[in-house]
Amino acid sequence: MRNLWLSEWKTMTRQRSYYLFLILWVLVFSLLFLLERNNTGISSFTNITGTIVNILLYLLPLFMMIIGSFSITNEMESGQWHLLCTYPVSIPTYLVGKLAGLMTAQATVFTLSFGISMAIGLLSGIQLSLPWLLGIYLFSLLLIYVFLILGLFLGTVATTRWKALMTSVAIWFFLIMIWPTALIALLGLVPYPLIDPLMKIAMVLNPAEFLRVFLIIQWDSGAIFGGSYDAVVHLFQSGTGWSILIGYMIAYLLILFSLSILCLRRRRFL
Amino acid sequence: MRVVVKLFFMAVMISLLGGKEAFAEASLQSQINALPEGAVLKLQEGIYDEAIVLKRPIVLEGEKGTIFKSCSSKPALTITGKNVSLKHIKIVGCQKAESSSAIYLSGKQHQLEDITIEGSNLGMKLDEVKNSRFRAITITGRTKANGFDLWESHHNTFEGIQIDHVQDGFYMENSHYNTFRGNTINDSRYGLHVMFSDNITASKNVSARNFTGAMVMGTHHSVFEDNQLIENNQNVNAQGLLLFDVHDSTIRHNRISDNRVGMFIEDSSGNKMVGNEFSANFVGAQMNRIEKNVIKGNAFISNVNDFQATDGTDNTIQKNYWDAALKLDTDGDGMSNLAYSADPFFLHLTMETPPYQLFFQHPGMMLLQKMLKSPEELLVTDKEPLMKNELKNHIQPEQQRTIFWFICLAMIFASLLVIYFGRKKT
Repeated sequence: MRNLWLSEWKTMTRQRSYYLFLILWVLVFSLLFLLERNNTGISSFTNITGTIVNILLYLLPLFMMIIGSFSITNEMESGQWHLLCTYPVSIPTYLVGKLAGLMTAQATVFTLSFGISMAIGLLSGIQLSLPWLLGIYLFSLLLIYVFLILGLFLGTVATTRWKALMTSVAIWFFLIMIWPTALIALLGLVPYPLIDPLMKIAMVLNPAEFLRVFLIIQWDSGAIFGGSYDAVVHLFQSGTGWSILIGYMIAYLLILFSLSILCLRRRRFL
Repeated sequence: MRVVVKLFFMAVMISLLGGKEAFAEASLQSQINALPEGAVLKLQEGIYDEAIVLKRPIVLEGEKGTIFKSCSSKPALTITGKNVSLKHIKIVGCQKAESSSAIYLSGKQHQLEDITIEGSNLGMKLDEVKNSRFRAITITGRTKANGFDLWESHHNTFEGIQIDHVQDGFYMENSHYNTFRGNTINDSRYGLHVMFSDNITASKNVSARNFTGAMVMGTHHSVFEDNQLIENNQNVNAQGLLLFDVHDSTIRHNRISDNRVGMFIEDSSGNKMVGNEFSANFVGAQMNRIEKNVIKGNAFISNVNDFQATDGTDNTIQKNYWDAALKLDTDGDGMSNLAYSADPFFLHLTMETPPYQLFFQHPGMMLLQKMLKSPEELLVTDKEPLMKNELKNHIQPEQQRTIFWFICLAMIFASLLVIYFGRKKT
């Protein structure tokens, strides 16, 4: 597992495309922080926070799914996977090693860019609040984690890189872009009293949505979701909120990895 | 013989002194009753466990440590008639107290100053009180009842009053021409609660961390100015200022910040909203069914959503500053040529199905809103948004820069190390 982790991390850091992400994140965050220049200090959920969260939701899931799925389909296409099959490496070890390597590499480049953008923000004299910044940082890391896992799963399902790309984009579009539209359309068909519980179930099923809601509630802004979510807000804000998040992350990992293992097992001897 | 006389004299003295003390303890009421009109009674420090009734014009003045305890079913102090003054007094309610209020007032021209009320059910009940003044009063409640409760009380002034942990800071019903100046209400349900009361003036009050900063229902010709309604955002129905059935009133120069909804206004007409600052609210202003209002020269800054509006008719909405608006000034008059409108789509959607409120500011929702643009006539529009914010910004205090730099550099160096080891050939 250690070798897999090391190889994934080392290959990533040696690719030139990896540093493109650095430029992208630095640009995005510096510009977003600079936007705040005209306003008073930000510490809570404001329009800038909303914009940043939305931009993160546009960019991170898509990139992470593509990176995750490519890292597996690439090896499938190049034959490295078949070579690995001859080694005494179990599939769970392979997956966990891959995730650890990708996570290290992506979290690192994100942390570096975030640090640089923060420095730019500080140098240009913008008032930023620490809990606010750390909230956004944590939200991004969790998004990276969640969508890398989903990407890896897609990689085990797709046979070629092209298919992996298509599925990633399709899923990103569904989970992020048309999620409200799809839900409103679908829930229009069910009896009215069912809408409320189904919305809550849908929130748990979509990890991006779960993280977004969790973050907004942790920012003390859960009241905006209205009376229907009062119980959810209280639950997330109480001491058990963080354990629910950790539990959710573990459950999510276990479910998707079990599915990935099943898929890879079927393909091992193809 | 001398010794006997001395002993006798001492016995008389002791009995006299003791008797006097017992008299004071037993009936402060009878002492008050014996006072002529306009007299001043100074109360020494100590605990008075007695419900007092003041019917005639006298001055009751305490000193530090003059405490009334109200454990009976009667108010600690009942004030009727006219011209009663009360100064430097503290009233402490006890846990089992069932009294309706700490102080009950009726009549006119009373003066209450430097009064502290702690742990009582209802702070002050005003029943048909007129032309009275209330200054420097502190009320800490038990969240079950109101701080001040006004019923048919007119022309009163409330100044420098601090209220926290009550139901409503000031609740008034059918009470006209009252003035509230420089009061602070925190951690309660509603700060100021106006019901069917006209000509109310509220200025320089601060209402923070309540469910609703000021709840104004059914009023004509009232003025709300220079108030600060902040951080009323914890409850799912929270808002800074709620105006319902409000007519011909003026709302100006208020600072409405960090609320769930800054200003909620419904079924109201003929009001002037000028020079208010709406900042960092989840929704700056929400307007339903309003007509003939003037909304001018306000600033909407850093609100997650500037404003949501439905069914407005004949309103004059212009020259406001919206930081989220696209602005273009071709003729240099300081006003943008592009109109700025509130799309009622999301408001309609969540009114029909409240659970969809979860999509507030969802990235996909923004897309849907752009695709399904509501028709022009349904939009509430500012035709001439201001290019620059003419109101002063409130600047937050300087942050701790060293911690920032430390975290920032730690992030950069840690990640550089990881990259360095990743690239290093082994």
